[in-house]
Amino acid sequence: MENKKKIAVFFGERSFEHDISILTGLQAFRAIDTTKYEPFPVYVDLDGKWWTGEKLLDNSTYPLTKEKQKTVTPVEFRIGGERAHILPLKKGLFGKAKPIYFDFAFLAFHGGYGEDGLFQGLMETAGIPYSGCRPLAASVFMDKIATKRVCKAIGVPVLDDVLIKRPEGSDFFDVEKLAKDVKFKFPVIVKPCSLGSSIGVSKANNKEELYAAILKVFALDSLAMVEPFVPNLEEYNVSVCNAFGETRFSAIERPIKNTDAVLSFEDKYKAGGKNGKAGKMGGAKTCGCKGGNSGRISAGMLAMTRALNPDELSKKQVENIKTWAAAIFNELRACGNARIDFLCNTKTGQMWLGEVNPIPGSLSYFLWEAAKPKVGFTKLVNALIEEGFRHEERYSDFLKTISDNRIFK
Amino acid sequence: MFYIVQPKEKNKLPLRLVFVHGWGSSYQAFSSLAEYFSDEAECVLLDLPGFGKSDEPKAPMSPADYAEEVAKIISKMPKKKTIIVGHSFGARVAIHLYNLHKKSVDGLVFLAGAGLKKKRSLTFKIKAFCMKKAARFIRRFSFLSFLKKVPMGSRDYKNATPVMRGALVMAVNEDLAELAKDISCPALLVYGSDDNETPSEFGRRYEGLMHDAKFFEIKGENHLSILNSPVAQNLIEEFLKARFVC
Repeated sequence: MENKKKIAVFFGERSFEHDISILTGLQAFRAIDTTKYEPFPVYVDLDGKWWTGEKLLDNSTYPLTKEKQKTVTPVEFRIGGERAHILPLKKGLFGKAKPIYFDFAFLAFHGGYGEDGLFQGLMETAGIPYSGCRPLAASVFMDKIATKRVCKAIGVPVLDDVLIKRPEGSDFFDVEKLAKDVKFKFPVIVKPCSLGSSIGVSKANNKEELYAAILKVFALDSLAMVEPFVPNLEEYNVSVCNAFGETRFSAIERPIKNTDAVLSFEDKYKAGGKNGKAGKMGGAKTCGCKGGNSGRISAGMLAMTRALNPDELSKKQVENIKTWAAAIFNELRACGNARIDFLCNTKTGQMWLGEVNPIPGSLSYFLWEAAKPKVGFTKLVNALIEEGFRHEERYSDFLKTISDNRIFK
Repeated sequence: MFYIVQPKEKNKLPLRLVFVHGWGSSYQAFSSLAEYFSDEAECVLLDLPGFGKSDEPKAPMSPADYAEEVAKIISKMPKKKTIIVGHSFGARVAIHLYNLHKKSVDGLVFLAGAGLKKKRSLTFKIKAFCMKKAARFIRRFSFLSFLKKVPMGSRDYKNATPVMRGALVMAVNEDLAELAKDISCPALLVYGSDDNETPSEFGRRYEGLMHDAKFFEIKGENHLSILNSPVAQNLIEEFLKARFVC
């Protein structure tokens, strides 16, 4: 039998969505076809330290306390030599640590450092094929302004916005002066530019709340974005993927929220479960049909409930969602299965692109299982791995042509 | 016997999957698999007598008796290609069902399927021998009869009612290797590498015994987690596509 390719599954990282990334990482790990590949986990903790070891596959290992660190192996990443690898920092029995080589990096990060192109750049530099978006698409998608500007250029509707920059040099600033350009009617929405998953997003009903919201954002991000509030708001999300040889779309989901405001981080990940913990890995995902609504209701790995393929959307709206999602995805030559979120005023039917998640939570596998044609989680993960390998092949062709064009021969 | 069929508008689908659960379990063990496959196959989910929503039988039933019960349900339905998906004990029932009603079984899927004798270590054999002797000793001397009340045996055995204990003993004493040799329909055998109850070695042996079987071991899955392994789901999908939906 041929040697199985070794796949390092990366998760964690210095990010607000650290714990969600652990869940996605463990789910993705389980979906990797072990009859084809040999996966192993690499966890990046909140300090940016890397760890490996079987124990990382166990939910009870987290949080990785000092005590639990003894059950796993600290490693460092080495590049610049023959072949990039990770090296255990614990010495072996005879004093020398054995390098761990791997053929592929499966990235299950959410938020900063892992989803925004930085880690992708590290893998590019190290010459290790990896899953999902390349650095360019990942960084643009994780920056709300850049994404909106590209959308505008290609005709995908977005909300107007006013940007407010945190002044440098002083901790004391006149918010009133900073916010003078906000001409929208209240209420407005204030969000940080670069954080995903609704962190730091708030609704402001008046000037005082606006100032407070801006200051809240400045604690997280140097740039705040103010947008008009969309009344009668529902969100519609769809995941896009080119890994099957054509542009494919997942089912469309409508997240079910608790409040009338924007979907908060709490709504997304902490709803339902008392302590905000997600259910058992691979646990039940469906709770049948909602009365009178043909759209299936399904609770994903995370406690949030959602309506799949909701039937209130018109044919035209579904068409628009798909066209716009494919447009932004392909404009940035994205890979993987980014999830593209739209905002909708349900009274007028008007829609705008909200944000793009290069690596969606749970890899949106529940949306793909409900897609037409449906894609199982293992098929999805397989496709993402194969797509990453194909990129690497193209890249090595490119390296060959460099040697033909050298000045120093 | 309790059973449900999903989806409701099932007649158009050319395939039927009959899910037979393991010991101490119920149809709900298959809810995520059945949901996934319900757009390409009619999924029959059932509770064997004595489990879940089905009443306990009056007398202990053998795996073959259970198979007859399942056959009764299938025979009432319009004929179509039928694949039995058995988890653990459900695989014993599936083997008997094939043996008794070859014409109504077109394929088999085992998830951690039971039915073979474990290769036991010497220490296990010695322990079992001593336990048997001790039981005989207790029976012989009436003054020790209070010890009879102490439940001994596996967790399944301890949890069972007297009738169901009888059924369990009948099941675990059977070695289905001989019956497996007669199985010539396509079979998919999926086992977890971390399964202590039906070790993946069972799957490898079944593969050798059956005529047209393919065995896969999924790393990291155990006896129960195999039921919602995405990799297992994918193997079943591939198996159905390759052998039944051409």
